[in-house]
Amino acid sequence: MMDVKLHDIGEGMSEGEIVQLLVKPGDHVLVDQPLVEVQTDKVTAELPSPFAGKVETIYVEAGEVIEVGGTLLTISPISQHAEQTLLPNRKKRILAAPFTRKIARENNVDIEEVKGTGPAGRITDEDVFRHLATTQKPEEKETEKAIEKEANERTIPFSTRRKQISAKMKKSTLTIPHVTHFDEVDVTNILEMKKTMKEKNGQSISVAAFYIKAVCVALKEFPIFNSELKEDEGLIYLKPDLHIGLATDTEEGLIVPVIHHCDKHSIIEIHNKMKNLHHAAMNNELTSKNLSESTFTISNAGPLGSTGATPIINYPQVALLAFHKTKKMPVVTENDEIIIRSIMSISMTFDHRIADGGTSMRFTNRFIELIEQPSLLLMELV
Amino acid sequence: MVVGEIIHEKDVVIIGAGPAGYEAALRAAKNGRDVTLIDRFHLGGECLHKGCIPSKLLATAARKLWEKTPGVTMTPTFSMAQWQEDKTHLINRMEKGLQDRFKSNNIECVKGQASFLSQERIGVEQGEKFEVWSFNHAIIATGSRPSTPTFLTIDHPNIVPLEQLYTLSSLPSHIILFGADYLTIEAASTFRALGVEVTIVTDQEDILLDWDESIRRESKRQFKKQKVSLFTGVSNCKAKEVDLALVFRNVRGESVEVNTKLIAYSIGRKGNGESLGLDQAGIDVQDDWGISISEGCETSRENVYACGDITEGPFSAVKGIKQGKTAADHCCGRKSAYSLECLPKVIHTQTPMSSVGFTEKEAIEAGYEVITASSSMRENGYAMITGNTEGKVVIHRDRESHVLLGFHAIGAGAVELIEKAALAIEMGARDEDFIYPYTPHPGYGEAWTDAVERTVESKVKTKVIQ
Repeated sequence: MMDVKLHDIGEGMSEGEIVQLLVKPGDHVLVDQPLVEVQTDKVTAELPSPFAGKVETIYVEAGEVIEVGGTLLTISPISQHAEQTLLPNRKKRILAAPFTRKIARENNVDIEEVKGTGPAGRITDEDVFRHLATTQKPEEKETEKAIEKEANERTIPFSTRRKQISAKMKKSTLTIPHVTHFDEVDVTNILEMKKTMKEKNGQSISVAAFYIKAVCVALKEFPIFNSELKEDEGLIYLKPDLHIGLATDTEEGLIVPVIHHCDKHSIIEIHNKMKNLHHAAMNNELTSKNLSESTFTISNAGPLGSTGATPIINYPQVALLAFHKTKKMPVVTENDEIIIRSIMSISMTFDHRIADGGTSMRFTNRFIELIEQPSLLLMELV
Repeated sequence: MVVGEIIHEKDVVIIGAGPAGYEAALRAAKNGRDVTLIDRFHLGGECLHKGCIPSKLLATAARKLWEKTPGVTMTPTFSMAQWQEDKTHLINRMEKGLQDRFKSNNIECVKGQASFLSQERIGVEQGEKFEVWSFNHAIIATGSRPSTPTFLTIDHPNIVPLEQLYTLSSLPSHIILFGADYLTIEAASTFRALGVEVTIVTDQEDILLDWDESIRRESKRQFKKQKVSLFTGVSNCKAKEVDLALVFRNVRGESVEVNTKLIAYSIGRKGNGESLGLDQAGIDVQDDWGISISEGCETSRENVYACGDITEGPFSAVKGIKQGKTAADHCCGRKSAYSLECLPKVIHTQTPMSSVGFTEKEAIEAGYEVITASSSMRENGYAMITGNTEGKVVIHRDRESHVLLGFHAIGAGAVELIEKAALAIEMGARDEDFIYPYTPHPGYGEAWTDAVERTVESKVKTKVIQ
C-alpha cells in the first residue's frame, strides 16, 4: 500500500484546494493517470498517479484545502514482475565456453537443459543449435528475430509530452467522426493593410491576429462550432466564452496555449497575447492556466508550409481551423482579367455528429468574407 | 495537458557514479542511448576516493619500501603526509579522466541526492533545487557503506571504519583491525610493512573463511613471521575509550586487553538503499544487501536495473564493473548476463593473493573427486631473481574429467596471473589445455604451469619390445 501525497507542483505552493476527485476507491489506475484536480492560487493541475495499482482509500473531498505533503489517497500497486528470475543456484559447473553460453542466452535456451557432447561433456555451439532445432517452435523464432531487429534499432524516449499528445489524439479520433473541407481565401487586402500599418504607424501586427479576430466574429454567428457535445446527457452545450487555442509546434511536440476571452480583445491585444504565449511555449514556461479551457483551436501551419491538411480536433471541441501557406497566384477577375493575388488555403475540420457540411461551409464563407473585405471587421467593433 | 514541474526527459538515468555506475553509463552511451549519471558525492565513488585506489596506492608504497634490487643500494624513507599529497593528486587526475570520458560520450553528470518518485521518475535534490528526471530505463548503482560492530558504535576519533586508515596524516605506532575479510588482511599487511604494530581481532572462527584452506594457512604463517598478532573466535568485545584499548575473551575464554592508538573495523557492508525511494518505484528490497537481481541485472521492476554493491553477492568493484556493463547492455536489448561463479578474488597484501573457482572444500561438496597439487614460489626462477620467494600456487582438478576446478595463489604475480586462471575456468579447460600453451621463462607463471602438471599422475607405461 502506498500513499499518494500532495506535492509541490512547481509553483512554490504551500497548500492546494481539491477541485474534484477523478478516481474512486476500487478503481484501477495506470501510471500518470490523473487522480485529483488541485487548484492553487496560481494554477489548476491534475495530479498524476505515480504508479499503477488499485485505489484503496481516499482521504480528501472536493473543496477541501490540503497542505503540501498531506496524504490524498492510498494505492496498492500492482507488481509488474510477479516472477523475477534470480541468479541460478548451481552446484556443479556448466562446462561451456562463455561464447557458447551467449549463443544459448540469445536464443532463450536454458543452458542447463542442453546435453553436452564435447570433450568432458562440454556443451558446444552445435549442442545449443541442436537443442534449439528440436525444442523450439517456428513462430518463436520469428518473434525472436523481430525482437532482435528491434533491439538493434536506435530508440528515443516516448516523452511525457508525446504520451499526452498520443492520448488526446487517440481519444479524439476514436470518438469524433471527423470531416475536413478545404477552401481558399484571398488575403491580399489584409496583407496590404498590414503593410500600410507598418509603414504609416510603425506597428507590425501578425497577419494571424487578423485571422483570429475574423474567426471570433464568425464563431459568434455560428456558436455550434464553439460548443461541446455531452452524449450521455443528450445535450450540446453552446459555450458562453470564446477561448481560442493556438496549436504550437515546439521542439518537444505539439502544445496548445490559449487566448482566453478572445472575442473581447482587439487585434493588437490578440497579437500581443499570441506573441507572449508563443514565447512561453518555446521556453517551456507555460502554466496550467495557459493551457486549459480552450473552446476552439486554430492551427497556423502557414509559416511552416503545406497547402492542406486533415487536422484532428482538440477533443472535446467541435472544430478546428487550419491556415496554410499563402501563395501569389493568378486569379481571374469578374472582368475576365488575370491579376496576381495572395491566396491562402484553409482546412476546416468539424465533428459530423454535431454539424453538417453546409454549416461548416457557411462558417468558412463568413470567415473568407471578413478577410477578403477587412472593412467588414470594422462593423464588428464593440 | 498539465505542465507542472520541469521534467528532464532522459533515456537512461543511472544513480551512483562508482565503478558500476560509470561503466553502465559509458556502455549505455556507447550503445547509442541518451544518458544521465547522478551522484551525491564525486565521480568515481568509494572505489576511487576511499577504497580500491587509496588502499592499492599505500600497498604499493609499502612494497617499494622493501624492494631489493641486486647492485642497487639506497635507503628509502616513507612520509605519510607526502603520500597523502600524492594520493590526492592521483585521485584528482583519475577523476578528471572520468570527466573527460563522460564529456566525450555526451553523458550528463548531475550532482545531487536522487530518489524515485514513481516507476518512471527520479527526483534529485541539489541543495535548494529539486529537479525531476523521467526515464525509459533506470540503473541503480549506489554502492555500499561499512557496517559498524555494535560494541564500536561509539563516537571516538580513533575508532573508525577501515577505509579511514587511508586518510591518516601520520602513521600510528599501533593499530587494531577488527575483522577477518580481505580489506582487513590487506590493511594489516600494508601497515605492518610501513612499520606499524598490527593486531587483528575477529569474532569469526578464522580469517579469510571464503578462501582455500591452503592459502589461509600460508597467509597466517606469513603474518606470524611478520609479528602481526592474530586473535580469532573472540567474544565479549568492548572498547575502552580512555587509554584506547580493546578488551575481549579469546578463544580459550581468557580475558585479553590490547592497548592501541587506533581501532579500525571491517565486518561487512550494507547497500545504500534507504534514501532512494525504492518503494515508490515498487522495487523489492532485502534486509542487508539491498536488491536482488536476475543474471541480466533486472530488479523486480521491468525498466529498473541494479548493479554493484547494492545487489547481492560479495562487495567488490570487480563484480560492479561487470554488472554495470551487463545492466547497460541488457536495457539496450542485448541478452547480456553475469554470474558470480568464477568471480576472481584478489588481495594486494605485500605477498599478493588471488583465487578463482572452487576451493577444495566447495569442490568436494559439489561432488567432484578432487586432485590437488601445489608449487612453491621458492622453486620459481623468476621469484628468486626478484627476491619474492614467499608463497605458493594451489590447483584443484576433477579426477575423472580432468577439468580444472580452482586456482589459488599467494605469491608474486598472483594478481596478474589470476586472469589466465579465470579464462581457463570459464572456458572449461582441462589440465592439458593449461599445460600445452607456452609459459614465458623465466616468469612467475611457470609456478602455475608446474602446479597444474603435478595434478597429472605420472604413470609411464613401458612397452617391452620383443
